[in-house]
Amino acid sequence: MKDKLFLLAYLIFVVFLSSLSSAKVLLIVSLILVLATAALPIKKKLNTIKRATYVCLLFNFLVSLPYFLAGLWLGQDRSEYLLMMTLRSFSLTLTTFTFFKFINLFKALDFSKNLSFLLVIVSSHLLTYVSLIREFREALKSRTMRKLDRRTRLNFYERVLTFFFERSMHTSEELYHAMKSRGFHD
Amino acid sequence: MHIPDGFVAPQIYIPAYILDLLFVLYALRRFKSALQEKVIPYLASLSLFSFVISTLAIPLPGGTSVHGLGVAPISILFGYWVAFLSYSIILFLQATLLGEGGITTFPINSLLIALIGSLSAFYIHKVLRPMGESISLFVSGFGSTLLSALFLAITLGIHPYLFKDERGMPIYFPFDYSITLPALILPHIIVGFGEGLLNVLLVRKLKKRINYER
Repeated sequence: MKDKLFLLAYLIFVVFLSSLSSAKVLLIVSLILVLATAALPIKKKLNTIKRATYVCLLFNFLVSLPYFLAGLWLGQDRSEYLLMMTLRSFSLTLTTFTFFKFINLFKALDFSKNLSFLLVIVSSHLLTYVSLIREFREALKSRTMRKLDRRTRLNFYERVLTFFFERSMHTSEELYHAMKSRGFHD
Repeated sequence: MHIPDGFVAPQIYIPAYILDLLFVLYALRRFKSALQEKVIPYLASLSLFSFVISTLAIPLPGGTSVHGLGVAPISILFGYWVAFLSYSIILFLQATLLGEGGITTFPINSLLIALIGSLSAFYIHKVLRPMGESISLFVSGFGSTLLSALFLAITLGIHPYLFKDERGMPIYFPFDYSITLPALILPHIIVGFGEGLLNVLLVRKLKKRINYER
């Protein structure tokens, strides 16, 4: 129940944050959020703040900054927009990162047994898949002297995708039997 | 193509959440009645497979490479509702666990990439199939990517017209259609080319495997 209430509070807070358009208010909120993240009992606090900064700066660099620079060219001061967008994006991203470190997403969504179970399965296998993809890439790199031509790369992808497809189908069957034997469908 | 948080207005993403949720529930119901007990493992494994497809950079002529979306092959092989559901799950986990895309922009990404992408890929392939399998597969991958990009450009480009402060300055996404349409459509022509190639490669390879199993 605690996780569900937190999820509801988080969603309300996200709507509130995304409707703010004052740079001053967003600056205060961002500072409070940074302090709150630092005070909360979560792992890798500094890393969370760094990641939120990186994510928000990346898109701001592509969207808000060109808009600001175009304003300079046209003789308009768009610095407030740049600040507001950066802070709003940062505060929302930091809230999301902190929130999902603080609560158990699967418990928060367990009002639907199927949905919760589906998310647990996908997220638990996701990291295995990420490391397998990395291993495939490194294996190819370590066995290659020169830059790969397009045909070889396409062949590589074909083999990788076939492997993952086979694995996915196999995982599907295994999961089905595991769930059935544990009485999930009863 | 993922949009991060802060650029989309609540007046856009809240209705998008409701719409997305309705589509998810409808798709899940259809899917569940067909597969019954196997629904969860099947969806989970296809979501993982969608994720794998979206992580690979497809090499293009000229030495460049692009990341595929991976919606088109899943849609053609398993149907558009399956593709929509499995890709939405990945988008949700990417937004919440991996920090890619945003929680406020999740329904926009889900509706535009997963739903429009999978629907358009499926029907383009169906309509063009008499012209030849390779052509229809390539065009469906290419067309679905461009259509998703077009709808994304429309969704983002409407913001400066609707949401301004008292001085007429935008308070969300700042660029109108004159910028969003070329800025999103032109790069996605290259992405679409890669997606088309991936679609031909993957569907041809996996169709034999699926037919064998059936």
